[in-house]
Amino acid sequence: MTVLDPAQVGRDAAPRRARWLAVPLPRAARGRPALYAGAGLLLVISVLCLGAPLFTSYSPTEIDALAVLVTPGSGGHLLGTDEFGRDLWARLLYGGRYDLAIAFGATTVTLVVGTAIGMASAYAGGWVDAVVMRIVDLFFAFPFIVLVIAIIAALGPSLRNMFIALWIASWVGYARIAHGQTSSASRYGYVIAAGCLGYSRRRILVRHVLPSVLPFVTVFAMVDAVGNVLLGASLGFLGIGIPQPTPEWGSMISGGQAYVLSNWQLSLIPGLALVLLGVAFSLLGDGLADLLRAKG
Amino acid sequence: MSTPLLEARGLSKHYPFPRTAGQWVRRAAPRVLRAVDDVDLTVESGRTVGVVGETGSGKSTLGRLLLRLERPTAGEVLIDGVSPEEAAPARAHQLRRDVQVVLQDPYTSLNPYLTIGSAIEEVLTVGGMTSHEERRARVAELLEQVGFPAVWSERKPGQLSGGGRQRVSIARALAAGPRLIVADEPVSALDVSVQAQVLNLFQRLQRELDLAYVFITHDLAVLERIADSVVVLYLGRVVETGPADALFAGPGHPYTQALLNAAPALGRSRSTSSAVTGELPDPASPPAGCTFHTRCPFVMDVCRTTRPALTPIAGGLHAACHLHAGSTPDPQAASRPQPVTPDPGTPATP
Repeated sequence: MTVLDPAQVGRDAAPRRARWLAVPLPRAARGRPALYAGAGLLLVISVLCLGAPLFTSYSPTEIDALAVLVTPGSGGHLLGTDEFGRDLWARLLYGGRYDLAIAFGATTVTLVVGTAIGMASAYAGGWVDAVVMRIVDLFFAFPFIVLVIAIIAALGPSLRNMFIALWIASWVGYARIAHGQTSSASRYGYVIAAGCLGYSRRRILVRHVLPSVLPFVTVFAMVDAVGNVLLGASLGFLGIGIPQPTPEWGSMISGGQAYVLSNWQLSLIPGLALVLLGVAFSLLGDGLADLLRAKG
Repeated sequence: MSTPLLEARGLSKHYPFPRTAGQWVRRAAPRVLRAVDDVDLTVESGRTVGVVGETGSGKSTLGRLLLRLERPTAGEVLIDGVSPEEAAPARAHQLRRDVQVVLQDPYTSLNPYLTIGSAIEEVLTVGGMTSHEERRARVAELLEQVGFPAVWSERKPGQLSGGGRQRVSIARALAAGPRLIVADEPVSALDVSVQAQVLNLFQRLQRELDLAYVFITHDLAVLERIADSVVVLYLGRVVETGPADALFAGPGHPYTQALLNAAPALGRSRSTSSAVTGELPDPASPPAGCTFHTRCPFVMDVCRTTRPALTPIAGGLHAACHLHAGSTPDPQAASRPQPVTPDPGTPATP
């Protein structure tokens, strides 16, 4: 009796990739260039920002009235200085710490909390689910940035309050995604069978439902991280982000706009840094999506 | 008589529609969909009960009720004469594990993230088997029972065919040590040749482990092969029930006759004489009287007004049909009205 055709049993061959791309990457990276490119880029940015004192001897906040608006490369300033004579390279490195903090700090909390609420709500069902999801709808009805600005305005601008505002405003995205995935997963045969087998609710949710929710929320988290960084920068640009003189890429772009005709690098360079960080998260998101998707 | 393994008494599941504004103002009760309506069902240990019906007949809902995935609107499901809801927690857990499920879709019935070995092992862990070696040995044993070599425990469901996945589903159900398996269309998604293999497996396991089955299907050929008794559902109600042999030899209800006529089978002359015409009526607004009267070739006036009760007919069968009203189980089954070619348009009367 043939149970299985042996030809079907083997893993599907990975799609062929360009050979030149596969060679310089570590063995594990082959076939997943996006994941490793994104992770690598993020690692480089993180090392530069967290190890800022190793890469520059200047202070990001020290004002030097004798070296105002120095052009890049001259006077010992790699990227020149801003209107207060502060070294742009140093500000870029130190400022990136805040942007990374926003990306990770704001996103991980909302990822965990939003996913947990969405899954629990969907699994509970009934009126609990109805109430929770209406609250989620309520949050979605507000324009996101207006909600964040309103919360910051109420609490006062600071890094901590920016986090609080982002947490309050953006858990709902995860909740809605997790809710939808959990609802469809609870109709899967293996989740139904798990109920019949007498598994506890926690076991069913964590071991059987979560794996099918995770790829979706993780990819969304990567998009959301980019969004949070840009939002943090926007708030910095609007002057209600992290207060001056703390360097932050958004406030650096904002500060440079007065000189955009003469010293355009003041806005362009932090802008490019933001773009790079965004690209890193996007690549990472794509790569993680591939990685987490079951080979079903 | 001993207590049956599983007994459903007066089981009903009604899904209310949202109330319309008018109903809300009048404080009227909302319309309900009677998915399952007053169904009795008994499963004896080691026997197979087949549940058959068209799409929309409520057979899957009945399965979900037997598995306690849905709360019945009325009636109860007893295991060994006990309701798990009323039993002590430990006993309730055991009673629930006594009844397991095998579902239709082989592609969602297994967690794609777990190897088949760990999916089966998990059942044993939850069942309180603490020794890892013991669990491993039991997994290998279960896999062999469904015809897999033990080394396959490392495979993911994605590496298995549809039939292979159904085997793993069965092994997973067996890991709980059930006495009854509710199988909802377990073979209808499979190729015919694989169907036969999986049905053979079900039959072999029944002999080896003294399992009872509730086999839910729309395929009478499957039931003829595997069932000891059959329940025929139409719009959520039992229209005929009884021993499989008698039912396949001489169905009493016109609906069962029509189903049998529609099913291709070897050695049975195929006649279209009592073929059911038309579609299944809207289950949300079933016809008055006998729900089958709109499609019945033998429809009488009484059928349009009065709902027939299940009454005993020949061969140990019970049918809900006015043709058998007042009849006692007598051997004169041949005197049943013969099928008449229905005149399309006007319903024929016998």
